[in-house]
Amino acid sequence: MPANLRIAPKVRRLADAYDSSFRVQGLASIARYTLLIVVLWSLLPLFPAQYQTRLANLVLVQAIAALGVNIILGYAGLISIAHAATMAIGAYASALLMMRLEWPFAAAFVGACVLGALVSAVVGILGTRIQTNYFLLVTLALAGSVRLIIVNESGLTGGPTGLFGVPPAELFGWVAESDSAFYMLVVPIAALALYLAQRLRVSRTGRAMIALRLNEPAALMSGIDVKRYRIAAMALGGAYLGASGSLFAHLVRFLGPESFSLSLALLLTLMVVVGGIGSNAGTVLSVAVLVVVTAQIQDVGNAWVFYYGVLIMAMLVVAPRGLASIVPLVRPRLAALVGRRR
Amino acid sequence: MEPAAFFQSLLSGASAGGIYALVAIGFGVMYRTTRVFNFAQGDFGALGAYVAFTLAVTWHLPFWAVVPLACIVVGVLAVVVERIALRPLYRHGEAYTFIATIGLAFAIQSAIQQIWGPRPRVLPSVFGDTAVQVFGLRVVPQLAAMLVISLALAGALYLFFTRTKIGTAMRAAAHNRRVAGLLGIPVDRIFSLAFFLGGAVGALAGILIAPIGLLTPSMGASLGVPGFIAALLGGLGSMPGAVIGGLLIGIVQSFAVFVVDPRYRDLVVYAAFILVMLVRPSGFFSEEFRARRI
Repeated sequence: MPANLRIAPKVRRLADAYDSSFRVQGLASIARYTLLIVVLWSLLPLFPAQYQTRLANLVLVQAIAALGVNIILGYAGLISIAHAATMAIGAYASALLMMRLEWPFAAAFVGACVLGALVSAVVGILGTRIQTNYFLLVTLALAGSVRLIIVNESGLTGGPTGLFGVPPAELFGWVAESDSAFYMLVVPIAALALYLAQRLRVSRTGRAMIALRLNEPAALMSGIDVKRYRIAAMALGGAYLGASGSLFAHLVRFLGPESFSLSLALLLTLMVVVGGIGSNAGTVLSVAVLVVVTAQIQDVGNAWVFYYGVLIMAMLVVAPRGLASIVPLVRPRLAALVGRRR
Repeated sequence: MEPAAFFQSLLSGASAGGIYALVAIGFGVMYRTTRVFNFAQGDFGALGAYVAFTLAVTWHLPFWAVVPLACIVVGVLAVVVERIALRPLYRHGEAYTFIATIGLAFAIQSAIQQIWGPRPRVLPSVFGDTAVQVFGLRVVPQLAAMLVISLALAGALYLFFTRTKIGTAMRAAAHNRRVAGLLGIPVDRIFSLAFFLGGAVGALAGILIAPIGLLTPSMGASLGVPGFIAALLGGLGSMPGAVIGGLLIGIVQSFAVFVVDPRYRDLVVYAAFILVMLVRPSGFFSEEFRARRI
């Protein structure tokens, strides 16, 4: 059978997905996300101590990064391990813009997003010249270079000892110095990030990215400019990672080379794999579970890296489509089980 | 630059390059047969070095027993991992096995830290690490042995792949699994063999380079990254390509110190890699590359 006939049904399926994903009611959706913000805000008094508030902040900050990774890995299928490096660029840029150039937080935050997007897009441009497997090496080169610069340019970045005294986030004179104030700030940003990621998923751009991950030849046949969408995915994901890095800097208020190690890049990849490659809700859910679980087993020390590594492999074998795929798998079996009991 | 310094740098670069070539070869054996892009190849080397450390220093086994034993241990581990974690993923495509090996790399690194502790260890050199004068050059026997052993092994593996029946069967399985199976080639066993060879060669690279520096849990990355770059420069899965890529990376690394701040030595390697990739996106020898089908 000629190759193009084999691909034809896949193109049909892609086209069907394309049509069925148009059903988003803009206004209703905005109302839903406003409700989400209000609900999350009203949870704040329920946190018993500052520790839980800090944990919630970390979940939200990491969720933004994981959503960015989901755009790169989950939508466009690009395997990168420069996520932590892009976050580091956003974090150091935001902190240094505020400390050295005395920019306001909002401007520094936007600057971090833009810089993250730019660096990530350049990696994407280099990467599209090259086969997928080689792309990883380009991202590895970025990760290595960023680390070298952080460690060696002590005058700028504080070097191996780290950068102390990062100013807190502020907005029009209101300073988010405490964890609860930061929570009020980060909730709307995270909700906006989720909203935009969901909108992207059903937009022409997002569908093109998903199509080229699922079947590159079929996507090419449908007239999708593969290179352009790969670079777009890198740029958008980079903006998310830069934003997350900036928020992380002003939450923890200390930056060191170890804050953005390769294990963070692994952790972000794991979050997307566990959540279900391409699923935003699954990603956010797995971030919450993994951050809280990691905080509980802190005393195991560095052993958690081992469990994360094994968990990635186990997750891929057991449920290659992640948490998002387990629900439809388990539901009929549960229903059958319940039915039999009756 | 003085000629003596030039040749000295060339020699030490080539010795390190030989090790990178070994990493690239082990990696290429796996990739050309199974299409698994094994991100954990460097960590196989680290694991091999640590196993050799236990055998040699704790159990006091002689060197001729240590090296094959450590290689077999790592090779068997690679086979087991392939059976359990990678085989179910083949039908999903290369990206899935690739992410799985990223998980494997971190698992091995962390396991080493749990078992042997974060403290650096020393694996004694068998060939000797005091320099000998040869033609006015200071030659460290360990470095020379590294270069000779890796070149000899690369040649032997090249002959194995091109001249023996099993080697040919491995290349056939790499080309088309289904047709190879129809021709009576036991594809499953061929895949296991590829992982055993890849793991064992990777472990040998780790054991050979260990006496030069220290054993640390994260040494896999410093072994793996130049190894991958060497494999990609040479063209994935090509034996002569891996050797040339490895030597090139080693020599660039050793001469970079003359050009830039030594702390930024690795940046030169990355830049060289990206430059070559921009000019020749599939490496120097891309014999095993399949064309993209539409």
